[in-house]
Amino acid sequence: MSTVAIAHEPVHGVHAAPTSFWRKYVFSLDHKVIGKQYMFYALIMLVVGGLLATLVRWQLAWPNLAIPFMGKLAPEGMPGGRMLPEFYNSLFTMHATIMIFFAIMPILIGAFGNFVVPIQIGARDMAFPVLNMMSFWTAVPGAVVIIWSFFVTGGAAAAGWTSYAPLSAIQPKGQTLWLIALLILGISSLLTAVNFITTIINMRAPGMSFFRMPLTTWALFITAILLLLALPVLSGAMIMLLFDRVLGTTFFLPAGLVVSGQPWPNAGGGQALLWQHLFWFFGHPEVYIMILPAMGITSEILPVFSRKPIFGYRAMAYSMIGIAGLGFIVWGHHMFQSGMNPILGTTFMISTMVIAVPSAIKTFNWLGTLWGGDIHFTPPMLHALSFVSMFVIGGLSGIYMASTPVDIFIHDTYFIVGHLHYVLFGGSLFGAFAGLTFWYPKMFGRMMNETWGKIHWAVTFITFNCIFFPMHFLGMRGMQRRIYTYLEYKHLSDLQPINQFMTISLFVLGAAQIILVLNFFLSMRRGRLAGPNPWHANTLEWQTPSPPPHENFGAIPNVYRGPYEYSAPERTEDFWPQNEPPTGATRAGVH
Amino acid sequence: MPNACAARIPLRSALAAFAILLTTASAAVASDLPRWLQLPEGVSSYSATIDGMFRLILWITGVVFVIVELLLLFFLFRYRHREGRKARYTHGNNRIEVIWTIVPAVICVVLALLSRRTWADIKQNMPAGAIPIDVTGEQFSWTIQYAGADGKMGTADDVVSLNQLHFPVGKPVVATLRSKDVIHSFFLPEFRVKQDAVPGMSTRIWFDATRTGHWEIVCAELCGLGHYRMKGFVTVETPEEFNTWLAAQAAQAEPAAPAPQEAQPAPAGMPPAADKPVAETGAAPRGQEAKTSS
Repeated sequence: MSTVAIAHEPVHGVHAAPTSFWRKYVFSLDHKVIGKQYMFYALIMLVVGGLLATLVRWQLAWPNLAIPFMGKLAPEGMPGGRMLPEFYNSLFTMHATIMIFFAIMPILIGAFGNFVVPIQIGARDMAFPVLNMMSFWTAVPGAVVIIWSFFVTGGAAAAGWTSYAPLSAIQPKGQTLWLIALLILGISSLLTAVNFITTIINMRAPGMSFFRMPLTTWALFITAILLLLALPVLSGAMIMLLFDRVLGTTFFLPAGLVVSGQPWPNAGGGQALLWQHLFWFFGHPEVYIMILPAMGITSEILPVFSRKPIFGYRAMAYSMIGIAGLGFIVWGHHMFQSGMNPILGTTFMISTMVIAVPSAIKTFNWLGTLWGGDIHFTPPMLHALSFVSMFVIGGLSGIYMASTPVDIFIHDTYFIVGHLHYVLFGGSLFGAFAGLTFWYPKMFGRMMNETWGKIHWAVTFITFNCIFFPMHFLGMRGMQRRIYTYLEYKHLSDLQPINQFMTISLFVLGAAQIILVLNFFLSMRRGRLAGPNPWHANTLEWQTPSPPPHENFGAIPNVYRGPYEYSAPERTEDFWPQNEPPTGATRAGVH
Repeated sequence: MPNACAARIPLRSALAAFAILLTTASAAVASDLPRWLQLPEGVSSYSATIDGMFRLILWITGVVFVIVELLLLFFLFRYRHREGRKARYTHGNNRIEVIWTIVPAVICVVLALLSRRTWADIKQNMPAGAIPIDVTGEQFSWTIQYAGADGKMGTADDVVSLNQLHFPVGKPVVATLRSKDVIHSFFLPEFRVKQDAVPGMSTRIWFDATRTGHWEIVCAELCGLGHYRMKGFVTVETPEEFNTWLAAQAAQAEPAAPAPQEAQPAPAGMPPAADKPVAETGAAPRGQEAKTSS
């Protein structure tokens, strides 16, 4: 037990609770405040990203139909409210960029990671509170720059979130700001990653061995390692692209490049595919960076509301480690049709097929957790169950593109768009909704309204499927992604009705989010008081008041058992907090 | 009472689920997939292989999908909260972990091995005696170069056309893809052909056609503001018709190579390619919509 314990005596490194407004709510060192800051940051950017998606879908449903007020809001991109192709390209580029880097990652890692991890392991704060504050305040200018890029000449970046060179090298200025924003954000994420890894390795409470850690903490631990190893590669590639754009280097610019009939001034010696290799070496671990925390949250919530231990705890942890390892050797599956050597394609196909296995293991273990449970359908549980059922679709649709010959047809079609949204919305975002509704009482001390929570869930779940399931059919018809209009093509010209259906579903989905926003803010004042442990859960964050006091715990808890001891036969209560001493043992006896 | 239920319901449901599965499976084997689960008509010699692979994966993932989601729904119904219910206290089962690790692993590896062969046949092994062509992408058009009468590329009698791909039915074509500016992707949906055209690289791809007809070339990789309209036309004709067309092109195009894009000036005798599909090659027979539109 002594091997895992260090920071359990509240003597060193303890900061007094701040009293001034600035130190308490703005430049706070408290991981809980920083977590909430990340949450508001992410939720605001989620709204921005969602509005961009609405414009994209508007154009797909009613090509070139004017939206009068947009003519005033974006006169250059939508003169008279009618969308231009280059503005359309900016919209989907920025939708993806904002959702991935400014919404999903901050809410899963920044918000839940920061708020939950230190309390779950029984620590008073993160290992480096100042670094933690810097992480958040570095992410803020990143968001400012990315929003600013909409207002520069030529508009925001329009080369896709993947920014394939050479297109991204010859785009207008918005692309430079895109690179700068993501470089800033990269620094922020690296600081976070270092902080999480250090905290989880060093700050666990006495008795909190690795295999007693809650799976959310496990997931964020592995996510942080992925961030640390993958992100520098993206940053390096982005610096190279930035140099190609502003300093005249030619990392990604091959000889003989002719743009609009004119030889491109700095070209020669570069490799266009190099960008793709570097980007996807980051990009595929990135996919798991966005899904692992949601998997962790789901694994946390299913046992609580099934009142049952998680099925196969170790299998869950090992499969996450497996995903992390394999995640680094599958990047080439994004490049099967890129001109990369086809033999290499075969290699990547095999590793990609293998990475489906740990995800399958997790799914079966979630089912095993439900089997024989006592299932309570609370809003967090409904979102977590949605995660499981939608992730199944996203995982299975991945097998189509893993098969190289099938990928020939569906690559760069809406089949891919459908697949990725089942993983990122059906998976990550439902995971985020689950986490939000689950930890809300801990964050704000009050319960959210359950009825409205269920209505929000039901509408979101149904409309989500109405928007994204048809995308598979569009892809099977051969509709390419990232096209301003499909009506140019004979074989796609009958697809307007289904696109209209999807867009109308999106309007309903967007409207349903107003319920969540209202429930979120009104419950802060009006919600029922939560008490420390409203869900009767075992993990340490529920064994301290809601919201937790400064430095989280009165005395650092001792941990006696794993996190998912529900419905143990020897107990009358169906839960067993991790820090509750076993009968007969005293606190002192463990020290 | 609860005990009796507990024993009966799973067995009955399991039998029912199995019966449903068996019925759908046999019905599916007997009949073809519904229209909305099929890919568009395939017109190259390997399109059927790709579609077969797609269909196999559709079946495997479809069955897994149905089983997992039904099981999930069943558990949610069967184990919903009731007063006095106590959850089963279990931490898992190693044997079942091993089973559900090995079964998906075997399925996935078999799928990979099956795919490997098809992939090699399409992208690695180029057929001998194929018609060589060069395809060059640029913002936002396709330039297609034919060997001309001598059958060799890069000689004086080469024929160049803009956005017009012609080739004879039943004979393989090997296309060398290049790009002048950014990455494009040469996508012929009905032929199940997709290959990026990358500046600084030349990539070879082969395809053929099993019947004559008219289709479209699509750009599948975002290449700038005109990406959505970077369209070309495919005409598959009999060898005689193809030779006649090639000769006519050679005769017409004597002095002029196609000028740079943007305005997309079409070679003489051809309507601008950016127009509606109706404005296709004037000489080509029309009336293919019924056959090709999917």
